[in-house]
Amino acid sequence: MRYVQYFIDAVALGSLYSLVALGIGLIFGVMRLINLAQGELLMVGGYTLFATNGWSVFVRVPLVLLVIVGLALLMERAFRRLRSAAPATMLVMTFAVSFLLRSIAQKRWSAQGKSMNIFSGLSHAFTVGQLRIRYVTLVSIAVGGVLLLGVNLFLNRTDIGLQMRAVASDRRIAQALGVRTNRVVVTAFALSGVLATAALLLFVPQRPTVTPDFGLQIAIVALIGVVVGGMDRLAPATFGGFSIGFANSMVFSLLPTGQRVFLDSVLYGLVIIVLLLRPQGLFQRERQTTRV
Amino acid sequence: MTGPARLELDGLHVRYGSVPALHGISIGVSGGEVVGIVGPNGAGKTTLLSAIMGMVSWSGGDIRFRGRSLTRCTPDQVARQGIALVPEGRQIFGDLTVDENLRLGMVARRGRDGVHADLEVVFGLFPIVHEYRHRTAGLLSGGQQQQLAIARALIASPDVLLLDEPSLGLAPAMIDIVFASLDVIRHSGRSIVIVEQRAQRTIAFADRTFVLAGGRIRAELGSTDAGHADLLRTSYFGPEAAAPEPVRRGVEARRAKRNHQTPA
Repeated sequence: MRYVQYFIDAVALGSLYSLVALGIGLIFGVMRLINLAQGELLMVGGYTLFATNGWSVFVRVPLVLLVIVGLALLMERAFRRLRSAAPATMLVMTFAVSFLLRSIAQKRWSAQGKSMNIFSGLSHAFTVGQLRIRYVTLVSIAVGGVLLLGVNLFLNRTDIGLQMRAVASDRRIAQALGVRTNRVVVTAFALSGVLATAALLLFVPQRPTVTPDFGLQIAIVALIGVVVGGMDRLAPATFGGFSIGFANSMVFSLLPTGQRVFLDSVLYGLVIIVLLLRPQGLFQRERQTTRV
Repeated sequence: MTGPARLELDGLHVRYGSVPALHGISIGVSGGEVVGIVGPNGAGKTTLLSAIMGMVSWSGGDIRFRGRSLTRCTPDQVARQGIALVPEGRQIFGDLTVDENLRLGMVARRGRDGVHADLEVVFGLFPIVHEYRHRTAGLLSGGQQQQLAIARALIASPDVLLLDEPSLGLAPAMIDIVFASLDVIRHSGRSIVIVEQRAQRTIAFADRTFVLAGGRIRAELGSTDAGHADLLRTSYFGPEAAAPEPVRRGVEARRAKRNHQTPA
């Protein structure tokens, strides 16, 4: 029964990381850019929550969404100028943006954690037999599932979703067919902002204090998940994010209490093994080349 | 056949970094006209089409479409104005279905009117595209992919269709299918610019064919010049040149082009 408990908790954390990973994957798809500042979306959203503690949820949630999506669109604007630059240049640029935002946060709010209370009811738990399940666990799994399904439908059933897949596959040709690539990229950034908002709101009950590094810690783990899953395609990237969250929670639960400081070592040890065995990504099929 | 030029290249210069690729190309394409461009590798044929599409910028001269300059137009703007490209090596979206590839072709259409009629025409020309429309496009054969690439360009209902080496790597029977479809397309009033290495067939098919070498137009040929091998050889290589030397020059030009294209 103990393991069922671990499993449910792990699935919940996995869903959260899969949302962040999907956001990273969407942007990588349309821009071939790893946005190292992705975590700062969560961080800035976190400080927005801190600044509005006590306000009505009905104001705070739309406000956080607005701030995060707005920041995502600003990032897109900043990166747009460098779109034809070398990939390394763009990568450094995203790192610079991440560093800048974290520095501003540190200057403004110091490195000390600030509490952000929202949906405090979600931290409560109910018991089923020996299982003790927090509401946030169920909500995380449900929201994660719904959003992943929603993005999937968006990509597969709408015109702009199709254009997004085309841009991810071959930007030059998509543009030559008339696809407004700027609009597609903006949509991808906005979408990743929505996903970051959902992830943030669901992270709060288990990590209720925001620091300048709050987002970085989440995004780095999600990014590793994306690499482990295989970043070329969205589904493996998302599933990679899920796996790293799942493994994180599982290893944490299984390690004896005194040994939990080794969580990261065990986790990244697993990552190294996975990458040695399957460098193309854990869930990536062998690349098919169908040039005739 | 001929009227006022629909698409006009006026003293077009293109360079990749410091390497010049096109030196003052002037070509006018009228409504319903088929213009062929032939020439050795590295002559600048693909560059010419890329410039029209706005995929490479030009350093001098102008390109006008229906009287309006295409300067600073992005490729999507060019496509939406009514110029469609069938790129070299087909470049269909291999992980999308045939149907999705066609839907992407519709992005450049001005309005959705007549989509169904146009689809009927396209499916009539390329029954295989209709038959395989739910398949993953990357699993089609090369010839089928080429048909899809032309279908995808046609469904945009363009005034000018640009084709970059449509017969490259195809079996002779497939090449016949491609040229037969182009013959139908030319009679629908669309202008066609076709870039080919298969000089004889292109010269016979096109109303006018320009021989491009070293980034310059060496000759303009009519469709009756198809059989004249000597004429073609001199226009490819110049009257004085022996064959091997210019061939080597072609290889060098191609290498230079490749080196300068990769970072773009």
